[in-house]
Amino acid sequence: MANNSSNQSGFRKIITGFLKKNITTNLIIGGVLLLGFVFVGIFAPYITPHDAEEMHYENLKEMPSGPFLLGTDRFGRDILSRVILGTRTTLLVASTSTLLALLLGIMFGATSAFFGGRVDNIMMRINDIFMSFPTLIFAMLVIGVLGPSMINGVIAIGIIYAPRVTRVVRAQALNIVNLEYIDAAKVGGESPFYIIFREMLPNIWPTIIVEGSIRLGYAILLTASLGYIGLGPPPPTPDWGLMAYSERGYMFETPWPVFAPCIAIVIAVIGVNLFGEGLKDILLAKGSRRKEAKI
Amino acid sequence: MKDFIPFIIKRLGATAILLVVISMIIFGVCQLMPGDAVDIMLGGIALQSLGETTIEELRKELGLNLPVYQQYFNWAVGVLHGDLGTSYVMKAPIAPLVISRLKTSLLLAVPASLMMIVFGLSLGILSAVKEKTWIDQGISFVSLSMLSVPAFLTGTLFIYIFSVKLGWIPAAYNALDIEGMSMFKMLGSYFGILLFPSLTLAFESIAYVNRQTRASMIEELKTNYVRTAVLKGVPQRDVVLHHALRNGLLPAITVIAFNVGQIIAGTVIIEAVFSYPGIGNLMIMAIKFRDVPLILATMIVISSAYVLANLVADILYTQLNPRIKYA
Repeated sequence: MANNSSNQSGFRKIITGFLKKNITTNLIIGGVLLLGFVFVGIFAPYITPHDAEEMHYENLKEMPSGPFLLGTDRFGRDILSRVILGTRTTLLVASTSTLLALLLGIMFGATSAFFGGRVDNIMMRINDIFMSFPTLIFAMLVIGVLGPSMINGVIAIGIIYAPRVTRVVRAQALNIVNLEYIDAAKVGGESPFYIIFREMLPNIWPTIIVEGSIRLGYAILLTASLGYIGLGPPPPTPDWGLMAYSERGYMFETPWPVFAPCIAIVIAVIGVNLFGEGLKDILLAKGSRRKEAKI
Repeated sequence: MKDFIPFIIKRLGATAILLVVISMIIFGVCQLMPGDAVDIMLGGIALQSLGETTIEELRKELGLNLPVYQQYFNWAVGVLHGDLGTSYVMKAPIAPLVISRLKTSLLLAVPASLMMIVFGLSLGILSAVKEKTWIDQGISFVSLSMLSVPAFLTGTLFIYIFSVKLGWIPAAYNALDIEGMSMFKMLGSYFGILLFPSLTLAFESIAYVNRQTRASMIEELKTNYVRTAVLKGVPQRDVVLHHALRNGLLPAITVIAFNVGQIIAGTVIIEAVFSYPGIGNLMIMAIKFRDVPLILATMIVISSAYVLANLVADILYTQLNPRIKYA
């Protein structure tokens, strides 16, 4: 019942989902991992065992041992501390850009579905154009122009994912835009803005939340990839992708500086994906499950 | 079939327009780059020692004093004539450079696409046939984790194991004379050297194709005609490969064609990991040096390849599925 009734608001669906113990192991494992990363990200400066920038000259390229749990890199910097601080940059960029993409996607998708006809047609053609860029290439273009930094990373990833969110939101919104309560609101003289945000959005929240969790996983991978090719935050910043790239020339001696951030990325992405799967089980009815979203 | 020709013409026309718009966007965004070609070519000090007049002349020579739309027009006409402009940093014509880099990239992309098709389909069929056994669960688990791992980690792992530990492959490919290898030598050295970069490139796509094939094959294997075939005594092998696969392949083929585009775009990361002298590394270099003509050229080439792969996906889908009306 909770999954099928279309006039139940999204947040209530989450709550009823939880109450009905619809919780899968996916959701629990994913949620724990995700919460862990958020915790580490927020309190990063307080839980690092060493200063991430401090160079311990007596302990260059050490293997994991006592004072340095994950070893040190070629400058004698503590890897664990750098990975912990890296959580912060990566999660910040990935989550803000996902939020930006969701915001833009909701705006364009819902407007497009609400007005329909020619407006919808034109907006969808524009959307198609942006969808026909490979994500990484477009992000590289934007960052190449604006210069590599955290904010520009957010802008680039947000813009490139927005059309993909738009399409999903529009598809969902089209399902409800012809329902009677929307007509009633129109006849009642409500403004389009009111109808979109107060009448339509509450009913497509579940889709948006699931889409957001899928996007977040991709955004983490894209953030890391951009960092890896040197288009993330500039060097002294402890960024996962950047660490994996800049230390890889020293893999012959110590593999840890390369693999520690990579493992962090994998765990974060797996956590987000599991969480997304769990949310999908709760929020979306079996029949309406979306096919695998492609980047 | 009668509608097919107009459909193709329409799709090709739409794709041509799309490519023009994409090139406009890329060109327009590149115009926003702070500082122009002259600043980049000369660098700070030279810029001051040269007089204003010399710099103005240089700008005029490069056509930078023209309005943007005219610059775009000149550039687009050049591209259609096969002239991609001159690189500021390398001070050489771009077209031959891009073509040779594209060739080396295709040495990775083509085998990667083949691997995606072979492994993706066979693993997908296998897990559909063995649905809910440990084989299926194992394959599902592996493909899920393939999707959670960034491409550069897969590549780095390969380098660590096969180059650092075993010494089978070089750690960096930029010192190799890949362009100089003949086709036959290529084939021999392929399995020694290029196998791992292209496998890395194919990794994610294998997972996607595998998952799609599994899903559609499971659906097909539950249909009535498959049950009839089984009941009338057709061997399981034939049922799977001749009856079910024909229909189950449909959704998979679209995913395959789409993933060819993903593979082409994915070369950027793979080439960075393996220091492979392909078009992706050229693009990264162009962006780092703010070499606008080179950025434009590499981006146009990769985006076009991506768009064309998607066009093929579209056409194949409608062509193979008679239920779809040409729109």
